[in-house]
Amino acid sequence: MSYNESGLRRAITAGLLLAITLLLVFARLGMIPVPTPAGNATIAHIPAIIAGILEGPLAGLIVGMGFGFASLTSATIPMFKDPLVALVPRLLIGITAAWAYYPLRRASKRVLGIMVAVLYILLLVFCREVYLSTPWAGIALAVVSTAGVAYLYWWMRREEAGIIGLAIAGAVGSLTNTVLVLTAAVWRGYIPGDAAWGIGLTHGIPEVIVSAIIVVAVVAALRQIGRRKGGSSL
Amino acid sequence: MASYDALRHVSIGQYIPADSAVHRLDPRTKLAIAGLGLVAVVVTTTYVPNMVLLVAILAAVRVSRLSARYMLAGIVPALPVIALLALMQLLFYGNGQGTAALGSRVLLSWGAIRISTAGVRLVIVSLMRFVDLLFLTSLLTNTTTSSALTHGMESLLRPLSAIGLPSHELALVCAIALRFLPILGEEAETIAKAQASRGLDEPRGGRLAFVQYARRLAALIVPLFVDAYRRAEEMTMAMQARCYRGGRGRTYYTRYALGRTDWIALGLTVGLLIVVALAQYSPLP
Amino acid sequence: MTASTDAPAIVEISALAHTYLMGTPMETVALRDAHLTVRRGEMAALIGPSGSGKSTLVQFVNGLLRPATPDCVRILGQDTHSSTVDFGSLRRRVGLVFQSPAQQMLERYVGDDIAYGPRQMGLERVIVRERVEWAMDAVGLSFDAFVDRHTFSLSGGEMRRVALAGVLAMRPELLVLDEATTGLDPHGRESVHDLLTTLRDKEGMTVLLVTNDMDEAAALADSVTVLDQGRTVLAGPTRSVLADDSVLSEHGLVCPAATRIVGALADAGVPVARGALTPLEAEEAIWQAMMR
Repeated sequence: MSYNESGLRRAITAGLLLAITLLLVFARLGMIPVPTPAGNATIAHIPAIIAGILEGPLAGLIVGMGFGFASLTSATIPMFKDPLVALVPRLLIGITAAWAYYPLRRASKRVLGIMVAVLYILLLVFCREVYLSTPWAGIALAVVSTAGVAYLYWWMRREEAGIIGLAIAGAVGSLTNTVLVLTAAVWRGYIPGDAAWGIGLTHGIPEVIVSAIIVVAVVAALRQIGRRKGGSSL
Repeated sequence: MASYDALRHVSIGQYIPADSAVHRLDPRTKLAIAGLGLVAVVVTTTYVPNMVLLVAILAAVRVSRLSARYMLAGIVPALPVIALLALMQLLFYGNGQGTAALGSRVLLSWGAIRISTAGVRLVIVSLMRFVDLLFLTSLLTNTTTSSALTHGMESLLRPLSAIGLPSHELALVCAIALRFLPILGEEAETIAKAQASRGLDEPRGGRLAFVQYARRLAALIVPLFVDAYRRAEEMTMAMQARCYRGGRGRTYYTRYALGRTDWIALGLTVGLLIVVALAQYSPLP
Repeated sequence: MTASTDAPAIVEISALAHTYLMGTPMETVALRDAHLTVRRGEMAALIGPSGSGKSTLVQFVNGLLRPATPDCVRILGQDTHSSTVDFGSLRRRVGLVFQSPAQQMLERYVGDDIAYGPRQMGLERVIVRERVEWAMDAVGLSFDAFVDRHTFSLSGGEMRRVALAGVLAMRPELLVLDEATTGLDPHGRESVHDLLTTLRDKEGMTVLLVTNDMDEAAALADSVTVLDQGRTVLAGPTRSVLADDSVLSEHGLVCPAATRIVGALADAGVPVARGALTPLEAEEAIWQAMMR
């Protein structure tokens, strides 16, 4: 593989984002207290998402892997010392975010709107499936989805398409983290299915929101996109 | 904001210099053994193989002249959480899979609670695994410097670049990350302080104000990222100005060679794994 | 030029000690026995060689760092050891401008960044705008040209001005500048000096200047505190502190250039009065000597 400039820049960007990830994990920074029993939502997965968005799936994979190792090394509870829970799911964070962002970055608002509608319908179908096995989770999920989608539509009306694409990619990355980690935890027998749903809803949702906010803020600043009104609001 | 003094000194698993056989091993050997050990620990599910692994790892810690107590110190604050989770595992595992497997007997059943022998085994094995992995990762990071680890990793992955895995890029990423960790830590500290001085308020409203908290964290992270990105662009140019052309054909200043201790260690590990595999697939508990 | 010495002290730091990362293998003692007094309405300078602990000391002035013992640090009459102090409001009354401007950019657009402080204070839109215009004018940035610029696309010097404007817009009672003119060209430095003097004389702001530059301290400050290895070794009115060459050189510092010139001339036998602080005073003294 011969190195062109972008390959080198990709490696360096990934390296710096990995450094930020390590900083966040090992300094126990970026713990945001949320009103849930588990205590803190994390933002240490966000650099992996940003790596995927900025430099593609390979960069996202590497930073995600770094996040996984860091999480594994600094974990203090058995669940997160298991590589299948802490490491493997994290490999996909950057990749899914990259794959989500790539088609979205030039999509028009109308296309995005249709996409959200389709997603919502799929989500409701999924809720029904969940309802059959764990009734309360199915209902909770449906309520949350509806509220989320309603807010999403209202917000989309005011924002630019580029920003919306970023927010969705950020949300996708965060959801990948939450869903896959919890699935692995249940599969390995650390927590029962009900608890997983509980944590997923109470933790995952604030994390998705926080991830979207931060990803938008960072990438917009880097790419200088989203010139809302073209200036300051003085 | 809480004191940000320590940020510039963040490190991954402090390297603790000492003179032991483990410290002297080639990083590639250590990585290979750690990797194999990791897989073994994750895959074994019964008591005997896990006991064997635990004993072996404790022996390794002894040889490395490091303090097991120091390694365990980090988890002390989390002990209540660990206990709670273990309890939940014990009580509710029955609802999961595999209770009918391998002659599991139900010991106690009451409502949603189901304690089975498989559940007990899972809890104990999980705890053993936890300790194993804790020692394994500590052993690796406490006896090997970061640069040695990076070299070792790249060296081990190099054969894979034949099938397209960018081992050199990976090593480059790691080297940059490790090099910049203290720099970014110091910067985050300065940014946080500078922002606090501009009247950036401590978020009020307790836990429900997490959106505000997120915004504030974004305010800390955005300058960090932008600065990091700018460094990335500068560094790209600097490296190219020094005729950096990628990984093919590069030579290294420090060279590592496998010695007799390495081969002995590897031999022991392979032997151990065979024993563990036999124990796992035999009818032993 | 000098403020009255019975003006109340708004910064009273005595016998302050501080160790970073105490109890870890990386612990460093930053301050051992630091004293600092700043009176209302004066321009004070804090000087010392690098590593003397100036930046650490200054962080106690706006509450970023808090003392381990009570009655050590009193800012604007409040003991910062106490946990009842409202640090948010303290940091609006004491504005600290750091050395590196890029790390103080909080918003995407210049206008929003400078308006950050006033907005946090809950001021009305009209007043916020007034403050921003005033601050930008004070630092020499054209409002129309800069208000909608991206903060990260500015040059170093421009960012520095924005950072200063952002703090000024809060109209602090005490303005603390941590090596704010380092790296500026002489023209830029001069305009900052003029600005500081105007702020003290016309707006009644108290200014604490942290600097390595003896000439700057000599030209601007009413009182000087010298820090070395975490200890305050000299403190007092500018004239008495900066004129004493022997003590200063013990701590790795030199007198202002003007003082050295006059001193060298006097040593060589020229009948010129010692103790000039600024080039202007030196010129005056030499002229006087020539007239005799």
